[in-house]
Amino acid sequence: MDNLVGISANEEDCESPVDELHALIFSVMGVWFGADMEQIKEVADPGRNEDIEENIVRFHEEFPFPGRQITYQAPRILYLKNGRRILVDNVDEVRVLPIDCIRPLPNFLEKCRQSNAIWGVALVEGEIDQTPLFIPDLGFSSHKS
Amino acid sequence: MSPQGKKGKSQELLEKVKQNQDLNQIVNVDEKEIKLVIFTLHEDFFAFYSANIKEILTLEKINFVPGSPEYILGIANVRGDIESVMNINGFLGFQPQPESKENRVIIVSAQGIRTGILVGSVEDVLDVPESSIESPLATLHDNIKPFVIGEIKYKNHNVTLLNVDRIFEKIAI
Repeated sequence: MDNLVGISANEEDCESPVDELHALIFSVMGVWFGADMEQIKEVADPGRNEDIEENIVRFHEEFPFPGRQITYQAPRILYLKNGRRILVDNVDEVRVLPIDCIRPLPNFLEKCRQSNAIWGVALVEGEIDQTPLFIPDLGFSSHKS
Repeated sequence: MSPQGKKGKSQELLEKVKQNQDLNQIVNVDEKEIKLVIFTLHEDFFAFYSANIKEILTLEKINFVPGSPEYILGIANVRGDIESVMNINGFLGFQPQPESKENRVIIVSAQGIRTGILVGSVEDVLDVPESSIESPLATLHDNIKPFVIGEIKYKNHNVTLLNVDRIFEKIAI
């Protein structure tokens, strides 16, 4: 995790072929996510930022966890290429997800969720064995950056 | 009347009785039967038409999906396929289903929608004559009435037959 902090993603590293997704793995409140590296410019330790309280969207504000008290144990800031900054938790690694391990969300969820900011689910082997890994669209925003 | 005549009448009556019995059996055979899946929510018994049921699963791990409405419990990985799982208790005016080893997820499909529904337990799958479905009880709670097709009797329990389409219509609203 720490080897990712403070490092800017270069274009070659984060451009992935259309049959795979280079995903930055992180978790919030025990739920795992894999964000497309093509949307991320830099991962930073919030301790270095003087303005953490301002202009940073916390992940749970975009992707609500209703009824839960949200805490961040090892927060990191994702600087997005669109200029937005999102606070996430427990950044783990960049993982290559073959497209055939990604499923769309069930159509029922598509119909009843208020936003489609999570567009898919990956089933991957390993540490997060068979635990669905949600694929968020970090470019999606209900807030203005 | 001779004993022979009496015997003849008895024989005739018996034949008529048998014919009537056969006729009743023919009526019973011809009567449409409907397959139902009977399940519980808390202490109450409910049923769905089995035509709407795709599968009944033991409770796998349900993974919460951020940003989902309260009635969505999450998704489950079912042999590599992702199924949504919902809780209909709220629509029916019940408290959330307490966790138990008897819990099951019924995968239902209607109106092009497919989802799992968490229930307390699945009690039976049985065929019942269509005529055995009675009108809903007048005492049903107002929350349940919009989703009810009728009532049947099952092992001294009143079973409320629910309409999956109406539940999905409610969600669409």
